[in-house]
Amino acid sequence: MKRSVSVLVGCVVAAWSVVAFADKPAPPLKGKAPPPEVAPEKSKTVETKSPFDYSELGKRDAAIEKEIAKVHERCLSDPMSREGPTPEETAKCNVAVSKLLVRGSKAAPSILAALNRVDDASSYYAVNRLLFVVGKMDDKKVRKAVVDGLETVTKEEKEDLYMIAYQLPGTLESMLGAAPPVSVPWDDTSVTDHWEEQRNQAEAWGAFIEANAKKTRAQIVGEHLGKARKDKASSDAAAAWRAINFLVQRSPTEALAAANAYLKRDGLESDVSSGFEMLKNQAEWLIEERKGHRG
Amino acid sequence: MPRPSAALLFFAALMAAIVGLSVSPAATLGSDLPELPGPAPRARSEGQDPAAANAACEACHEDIAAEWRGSLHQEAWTDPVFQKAYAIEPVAFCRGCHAPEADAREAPGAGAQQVGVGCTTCHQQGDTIVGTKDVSLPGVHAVRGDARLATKQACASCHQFDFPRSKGEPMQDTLAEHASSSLSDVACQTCHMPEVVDEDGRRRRSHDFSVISNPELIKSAVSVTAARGQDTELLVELEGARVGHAFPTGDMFRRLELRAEALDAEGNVVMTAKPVHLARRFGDVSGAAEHPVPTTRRVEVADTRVPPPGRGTRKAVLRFAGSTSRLSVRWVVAYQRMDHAMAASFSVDQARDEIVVARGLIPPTPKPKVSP
Repeated sequence: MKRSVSVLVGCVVAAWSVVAFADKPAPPLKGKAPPPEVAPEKSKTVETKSPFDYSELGKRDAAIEKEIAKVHERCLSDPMSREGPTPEETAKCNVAVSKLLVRGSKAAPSILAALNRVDDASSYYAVNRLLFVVGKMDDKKVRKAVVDGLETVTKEEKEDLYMIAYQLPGTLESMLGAAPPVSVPWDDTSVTDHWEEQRNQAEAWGAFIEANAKKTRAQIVGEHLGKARKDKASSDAAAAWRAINFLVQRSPTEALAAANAYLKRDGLESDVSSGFEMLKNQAEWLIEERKGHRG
Repeated sequence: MPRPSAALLFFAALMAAIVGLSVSPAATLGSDLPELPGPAPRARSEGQDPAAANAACEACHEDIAAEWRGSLHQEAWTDPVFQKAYAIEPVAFCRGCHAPEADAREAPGAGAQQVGVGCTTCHQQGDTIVGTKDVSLPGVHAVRGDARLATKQACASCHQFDFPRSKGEPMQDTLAEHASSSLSDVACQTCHMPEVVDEDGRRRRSHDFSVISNPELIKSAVSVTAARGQDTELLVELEGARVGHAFPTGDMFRRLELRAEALDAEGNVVMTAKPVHLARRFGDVSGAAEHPVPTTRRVEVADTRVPPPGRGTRKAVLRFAGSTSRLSVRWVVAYQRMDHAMAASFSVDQARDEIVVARGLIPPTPKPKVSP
C-alpha cells in the first residue's frame, strides 16, 4: 500500500486546501453554487457570528463582498469530479481570487462572514479558494478567529460545515507557516469518526496558536526551518519524516535531497520507505511546478 | 443482506480483472494522444465494427461469452453509474478503459459501447488472436501465446493509473497495493478469474470477472474482530484475509462503513455510535507557494483502508454517547462504493447497494458477582 496512514490531513503540507470525499456526506452535488444570498447592505443587519466571530477584525466591506460573490460565481468545479478543478476552471477562478488577495487582512471579516453562510448549496471550490485567501493573511487576530471557528464547527458537528472544517487546518498551516506535529504515515493510530478527528485537530491547533501567539509567520517559519534542517537526517525516522515534510513546501530541492538520502538507508521498513517516497514525489512535483512558473 | 443492483455496479468494472494487454496505448495512433490509463486506442483494422468482431468470438465460445455477458467488463460503458460519473467528466481519460474498442479521442460508437471490455480487447492484437499459450486449431483460427495474459500485466493498464494532471499520484493503486502485499506472487487471475470446469470436463478460467456481484468474495476479503473498549467504546480491528491488495481497492470513492448500535434487553436501539469510515482521502494541493495564485493538483492525503495482507491491521474506535456495559452492542462493517451524498446524487440506493462484510453482537457485560 502506498500509504498506510491516518494522517492528520490538514497538517500534511502547508497550503494544502483539502476537500474530503471519504468520511462524510459529500460536498454539494453541483458546483454551480449561488453567491452568498445576503447582499452586502442587507447583510449588515443579519450578520451571523458562528462559527466565525469576526467582530474583532474590523468592518465588513461592500466592495470586498462583491469580490467574494465573484469567487462564488467563477470558482466552480463539480465536487464529484475525480480529477478536481480543470485548468480552465482554475484559470477562470484565479481572476476573481487575485482581486481578493490584494485586499490582505482587510478582507477577513467579509470572507469569514461569507463562510458563516456556507451550506450544502455552496460550491466547495469557492470555499476552498476563500480559505486559500485567508491562508495568506499573516494576522494574529485572524488566526485566532479561524482556530476558534474550527473549534466551534467541531463542537456543533453541522455536516453542512464539514466542508469548511476539513480545510481549516490547511488554512491555519498556511497562515502560520507551520503546524503542530503530524502523524507519520506508518503510525498505527486508531481511526475515529470524522468529527472526533477534527476536534483533535482543533485542540492541537489551539495549543499551537497559543504557543506562537506573539510570533509572526516569518518567525515561526524561521524556527521550524532551523529545526527541520537539524532533524532531516535524524536516526529517528518519524522526526526525519516530519522535518522533510516541513521542507517540501518551503525548500523542495532540499527536501528532495533529504528524502533521497533517507531512502538510501539500509533496513528501512517498507511502510517507512513508502512515507519517504511520498515526500520525494511531492518535492519533485513542486520543483517541476516552480520551473513552470518561472519558465 | 443488501444485494447490489447489477445495473449500478459501474465501479466494479475498474476492480475486476483482465482488461487489456500492457501494450503502449498511444503506440499505434500517433503522438498527439493524451496519456490514457487503458488499452485504447487499439490498432483495429480499418472499419472493423467492434460488436461484429466480438460477436465472432461469442458465436463459438458460447460458455465463455455467457459468463462475460452481463459482467462489469461488458457493462464498462453502459453501466448507469458510470454514465452518471462520465457525465461529470466526459474525457478521453475515462474512455480509454470504459470503451477500449473505440478510439478514445472520440465518443465511442454504438458497437464499442455495447462491447465494453470485450473478448477482442484482450484477445486480439492487430489481426492476431492471442491467448495465454499457442494453440493450433486447424480450420478455425490459430492462437498465438502471450504469457502476459496470465499475469498482472494484463490488468495493470486499467487498474493502476495516476490522476491525469498529477503524475505519480495514483487515482487507482491496486497493482501497487498488490505488489506490496505478501501475495505479490499470486496473479490477479487466481482470485478474479478462478478455474472452472466446462461441461466437457475442460478446465479454463472464468470470464465473469465477478467482484461486487459476488458478495461472498467481498466478505472473504477481510477478517474482523470487535470488542468492547472503555465504557463507551467499541474497538474494531480489520485484517486482510482472502485479498491481494488493500481493501476496498479500485475506485477512489470506495470505503468501508463501520456502524454500531447499543440495544436493551428487548432489542430496542438505545444508542447509535457515530459511524467510522475507512477510505482513501484526497485533497487539492496548492503548488508553488511564491506564486500568488498557484495551481492545484489532486493527491491522496490519507488512507485508512484495510492494508494489503502482510502489511498489518487497521484499528478503529466507535464511540457511544454513554456507557454500553449493560447493553448489547450490534456492529456492522459494510462495503460501500461511494458516500451517501454521492449515492443519492447517482440514484443509488445505498442500503441496497452496500455489502455487509461482517456483523456481530456483543452481549452485555455480566454484572460482577458480589461475595456473600
